[in-house]
Amino acid sequence: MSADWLPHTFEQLDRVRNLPPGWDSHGAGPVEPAAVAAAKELLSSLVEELQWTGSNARVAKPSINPTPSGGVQLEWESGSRCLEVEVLRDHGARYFYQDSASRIEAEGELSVGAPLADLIRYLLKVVAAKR
Amino acid sequence: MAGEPVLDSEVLLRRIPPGEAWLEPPDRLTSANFKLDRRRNEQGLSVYREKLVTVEDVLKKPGAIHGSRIAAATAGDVRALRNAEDQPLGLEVVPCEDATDVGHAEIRGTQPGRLSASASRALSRLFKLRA
Repeated sequence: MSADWLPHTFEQLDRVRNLPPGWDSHGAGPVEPAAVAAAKELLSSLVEELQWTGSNARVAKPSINPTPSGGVQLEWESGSRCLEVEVLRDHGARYFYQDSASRIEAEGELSVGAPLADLIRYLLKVVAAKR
Repeated sequence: MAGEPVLDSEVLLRRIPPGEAWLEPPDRLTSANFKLDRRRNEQGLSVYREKLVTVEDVLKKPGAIHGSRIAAATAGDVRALRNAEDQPLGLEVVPCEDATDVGHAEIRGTQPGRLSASASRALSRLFKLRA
């Protein structure tokens, strides 16, 4: 599993952490530093676990977005499939998987230290989708 | 807060923050642009009715930041949105204007103060940036 995008993604997350109040043009407060830290931790864990699974998949860099609730959203998208993970300030996270071609949606929550099996399964589905 | 009911034919305008700091590409609409601020207990997504305000008015409202853009969709299309499994999302558009905030309305989910990840994604695909 190759993830040479990780350092650049961390830099992006640091920029998101420094956004001023009102960054969303609707009065949202700043992104929570704890959410940024949790997002970095989650990405590192994902990369590590994908290596342990022996996956040869090339997982693309996620898009990084701040959310109005002070969290950080990671997005992977390919073809008709997408995976969104909103990392929250309390170190929890919510994920949303959608395959519009197959008419499938799934949502779930992750707590700190929880197994990432579901997330990895959906991420590999997105990676496998044809653009 | 109230106002006359929002007709299906009405065009809704939503401010989108400039995303140069994080978005790739920076003019992309993402589901994060259509999430509620849970820290402020937002009940719905803030939009403006084009029949009552101009794009310029919306970009001058309190809280609007320099460089923001406008995305638009009709109320009827919002109400008709369905998820990937072809189930109705049940979104409603309600007037919320008062003397200090003319033309204001909100897109609300089926439960107060909640908007599903599926709804946020569908809205991000429906709304189109104005040139």
